Amino acid sequence: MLSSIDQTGRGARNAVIMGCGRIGASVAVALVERGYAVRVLDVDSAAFDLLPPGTVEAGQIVPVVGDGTLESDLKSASVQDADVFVAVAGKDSFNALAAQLAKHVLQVPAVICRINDPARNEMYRTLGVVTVSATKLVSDLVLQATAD
Amino acid sequence: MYAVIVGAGRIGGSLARWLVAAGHEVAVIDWDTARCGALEDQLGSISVVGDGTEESILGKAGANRADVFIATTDRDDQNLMACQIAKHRFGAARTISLVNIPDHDPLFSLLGIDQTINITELIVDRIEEHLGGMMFEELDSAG
Repeated sequence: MLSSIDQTGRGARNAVIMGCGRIGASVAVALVERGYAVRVLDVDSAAFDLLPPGTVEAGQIVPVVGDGTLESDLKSASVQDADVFVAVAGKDSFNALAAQLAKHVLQVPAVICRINDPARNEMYRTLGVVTVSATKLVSDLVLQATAD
Repeated sequence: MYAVIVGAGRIGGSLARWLVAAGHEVAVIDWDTARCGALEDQLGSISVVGDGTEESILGKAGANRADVFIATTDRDDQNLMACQIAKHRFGAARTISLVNIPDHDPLFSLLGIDQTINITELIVDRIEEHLGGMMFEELDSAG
């Protein structure tokens, strides 16, 4: 998914990630490696412990305490200036609300949303939200592995 | 009319009582068994225990034949998702959502929720109405 985000523009592009769990922290590092300036939003400041300290000290990843389902908190993380917004919190409903705020209200060009439940995932895809699902990825891999 | 309500709290519960009294058929979804039980003591078996953002639960509540689908929880993320599933997966004729955080109101409308009830704005407006006279009086005396 991340390899499809092309870095064509000059200067650092901006990404905001909502949810600093294992997935959010990994995505943050992957985007830094692709030259992005990354801000990570989480309601719990302890979650930022998962970020590699070097990247935070170097200012490559900026942690922001806030609730990604609130437009005001998204704005304080400058989501309106982001090229990419990634919603990877633990709850589908949080991610869906945050992603749709980023896409439709704050007009972020590329929005990616984690929706684990397969039925919800299918619905949000038909509504034009780019979704990723750990559940689907795992089940696809199992199917692949058992296909032969 | 068939109404499916998500949330058996104060607002969802009152709405259910009012709709049943008016002769309508109602289903109420709430994950809290105690709240569902209390409602059933008054209204009979109208509740579905579960997550109102879960497709299987909405199916159990008959969202596919709902004339109106009303999300009344105190969580906007859940209200939005419940209404979107009701509308896009079950074809509910009309979706109404409580909006707790006023900023969310335009998004919900943009996303096709048929009607939003901006609860915070309603209460603030009502208080302003009551205080209106008093505020003007103070302005006058200050001026």
